[in-house]
Amino acid sequence: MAIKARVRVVALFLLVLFLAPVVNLTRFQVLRSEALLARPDNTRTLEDLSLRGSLLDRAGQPLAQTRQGRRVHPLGPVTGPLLGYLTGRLGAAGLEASLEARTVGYAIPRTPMQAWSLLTRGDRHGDDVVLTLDRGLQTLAWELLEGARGAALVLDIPSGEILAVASRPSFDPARLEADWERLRVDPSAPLIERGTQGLYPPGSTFKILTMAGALADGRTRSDEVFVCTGSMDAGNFILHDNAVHGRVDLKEALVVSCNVTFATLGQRLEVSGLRRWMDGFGLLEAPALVPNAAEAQPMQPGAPSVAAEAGIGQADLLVSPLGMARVCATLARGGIDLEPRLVRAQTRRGQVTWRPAAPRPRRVLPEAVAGEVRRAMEEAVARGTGGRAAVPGVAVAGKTGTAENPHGEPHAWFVGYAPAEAPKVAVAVLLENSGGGGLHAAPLASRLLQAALSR
Amino acid sequence: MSERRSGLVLMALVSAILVLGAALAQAGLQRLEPPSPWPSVGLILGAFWIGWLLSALRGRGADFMLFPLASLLCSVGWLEVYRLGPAIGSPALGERQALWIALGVGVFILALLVPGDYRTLEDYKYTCLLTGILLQVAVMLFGTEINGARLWFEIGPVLFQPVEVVKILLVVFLAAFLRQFRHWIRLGLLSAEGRLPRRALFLLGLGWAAAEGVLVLQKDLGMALLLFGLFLSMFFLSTGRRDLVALAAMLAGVGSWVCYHLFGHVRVRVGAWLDPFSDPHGQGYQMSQALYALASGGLDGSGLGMGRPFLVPEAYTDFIFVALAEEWGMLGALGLLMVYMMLVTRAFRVALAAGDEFGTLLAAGLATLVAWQTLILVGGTVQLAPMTGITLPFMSYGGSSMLANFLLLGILWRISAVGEVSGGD
Repeated sequence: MAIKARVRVVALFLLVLFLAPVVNLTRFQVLRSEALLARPDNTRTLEDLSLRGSLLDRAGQPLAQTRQGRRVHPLGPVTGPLLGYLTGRLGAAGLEASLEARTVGYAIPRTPMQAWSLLTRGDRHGDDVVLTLDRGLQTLAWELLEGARGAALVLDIPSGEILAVASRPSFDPARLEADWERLRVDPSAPLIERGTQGLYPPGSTFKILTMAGALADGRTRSDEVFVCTGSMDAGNFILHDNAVHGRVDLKEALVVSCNVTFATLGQRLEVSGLRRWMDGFGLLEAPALVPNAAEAQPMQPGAPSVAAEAGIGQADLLVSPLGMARVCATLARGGIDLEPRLVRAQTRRGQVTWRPAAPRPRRVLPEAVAGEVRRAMEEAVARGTGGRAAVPGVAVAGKTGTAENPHGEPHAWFVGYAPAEAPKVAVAVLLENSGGGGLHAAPLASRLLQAALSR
Repeated sequence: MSERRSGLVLMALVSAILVLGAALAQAGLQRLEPPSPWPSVGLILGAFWIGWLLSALRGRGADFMLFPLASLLCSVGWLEVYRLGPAIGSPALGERQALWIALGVGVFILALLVPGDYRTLEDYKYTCLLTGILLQVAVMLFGTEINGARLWFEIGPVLFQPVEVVKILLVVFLAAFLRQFRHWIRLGLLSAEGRLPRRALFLLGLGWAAAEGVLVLQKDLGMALLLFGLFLSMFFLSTGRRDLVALAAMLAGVGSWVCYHLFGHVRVRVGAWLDPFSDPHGQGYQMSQALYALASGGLDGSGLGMGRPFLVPEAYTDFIFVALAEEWGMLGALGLLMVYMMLVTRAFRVALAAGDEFGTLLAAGLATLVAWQTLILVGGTVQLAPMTGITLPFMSYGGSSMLANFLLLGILWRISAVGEVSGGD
């Protein structure tokens, strides 16, 4: 019967038509989903953001807040990669993402328990989070880095709080979505926060740790005299120093940054000893209250030269600027470590709803040992490699670093603290591929220390 | 027998989906303090199982998958309607829909139990036509106006939308009329002297005029599209004249173009369809909200009761498919489309198995009706076509639509039950 043949034709025709909605569902639910969610008139996104709490600096000034349904960052690129971003299209990153659990009143629950607490909670507004940052110092740190790639970090010594952590290159969060395609592939990595997440060979700044470890372990004494001939046998190759330092005692070796001395101490400590001291200073574990921080990578045992190279902060070990600032602060406290922190409190309409436990002081090494290293660091600034870090009227202690790396020119480092006799603030300055630390990084540290002390 | 077992498995699955879904929806809506879903779930499941058992016991060789497939659609639709009720401020929506589903199953059972043969319907074709026309005219004159359209009768506490029944009456009429006169129409067409196929053209013209009339007089774009699609499909089924169908489709295109330029409300509809974001707070509001709902649902959806489908106006009727795509995700929406395809396929199988031309035409017409209605509504909500105010079969909230769709299902079942027995005619 011809009718039945036509029934098949009509049925097939109609069933094929059912494919059309599948095409559009794929377009709207998958392919164009993010673009649709990011549209400014999409109240779903607005509703989510308007319930977000703000991020505040230590004085309660906003660093991130929602205005007319958009997340705004008043300091713009100054806090760029540190705070990250929060948009419907690109999602969240940086502190905005890590602190989401506190700033979000309404989130898509990921576990049954979250779903339950979401359902039973009345007020869906998220809390504010108070950070330890100081707006003025943060802005200064960022301005000092102008024209460079690198990071500048200021640590409050009595509390362990991070007062400033600037990173260049940065991005303007207000133009993030427009610039996204460029930012994403930019080889200079503007989306990475270098102060806490960037890992670098510490170079000579690491000598303060080598010295402290060797003294505490009894591998050397403060009056030991080393003979520097400008080079030494590191095991499987000849390690060259930047100068022939002749006969130097331990303190003098740090002041002039003698590689032969500290490579020798590295050999005496061995890889295991150096690693133990990195762990002792807390470098091998990321601090819990600095979200996204990267822990240091210790050197891998292998060639006989590793211990010697690691003693002067080379080999394959990597530390963040935060990590080196932490070592400085520990020495400045006379050998007591406080875990650095970036988060002060969680508040709701000005009332504190959560506060992290007070940092637990932890003795890392004897006070006398810390004192030896501190005196050497003080003289390194007073008459040694770190001269340009000096601040008029204040005694500064510190150590420069010029870290060889596979990416070109050495990284310029300076780590230090001030005032030397009663330390208040520690700094770490790192400039990628810009040469000598004493020449380039130390002057920035001077400006930062001066500003931090007059705060 | 194995088909009956498949139907049984599907019914068990439907029951599980309904129970688990209701528990999920209730948990997801905790803060809105929804009414308990369990009385409604009990009512629906009771009706489903009675309907299934009766259809399985009575039918010999009848189609055992039609009813379970429709039950699946009803269950999923009910879960979404129940979930939307408290969010849009009418918590009893789920209970009312459950009642309509139960009454719908009642209509299905009645259709099973009525003695006699479906073929007697053929003798009442003009009664069907007249009833349909009378209902449509009456609703235009005496109906209650809602949102600027006069499509409902108010009977006590319920709204009755006669067009839902008129569609079925029209299919019955067309099946009977075209069966009787298809050779006559064809003969007219086949005249070798090069004369115009006047009778066929006249008939096509009538169908076209009816559709345009609905569009102009009732401002009901969806129904006009549906009537015309249905008419053309059935005309093709009975006469097989592709050229004339193409001609009519072109005429429809011309008619649409004329309407677009003549009527402001059509222009507004089309504008909101093609670019909803040009006026996202006015005419494009519903469409742009629907697109946001789809986008926020994504591939796997927000979860039942966890999304915000209530931001889309009319989410529980015209836009229930979008609400579902948001909360059940694209995967859920695709699954649902597949269930519709299966239902339509089964209905066409009934047409192929029917033992007489009227049965074939009637079943194919009803299958076409379900398919076109689903396609027009889903297309309208995913920006494939201008959005239209018709219902999604078995899913949208609404009594008239539910009862009419179960009546349609009952007729299909009757055709299938006879088709097997009298297959040797």
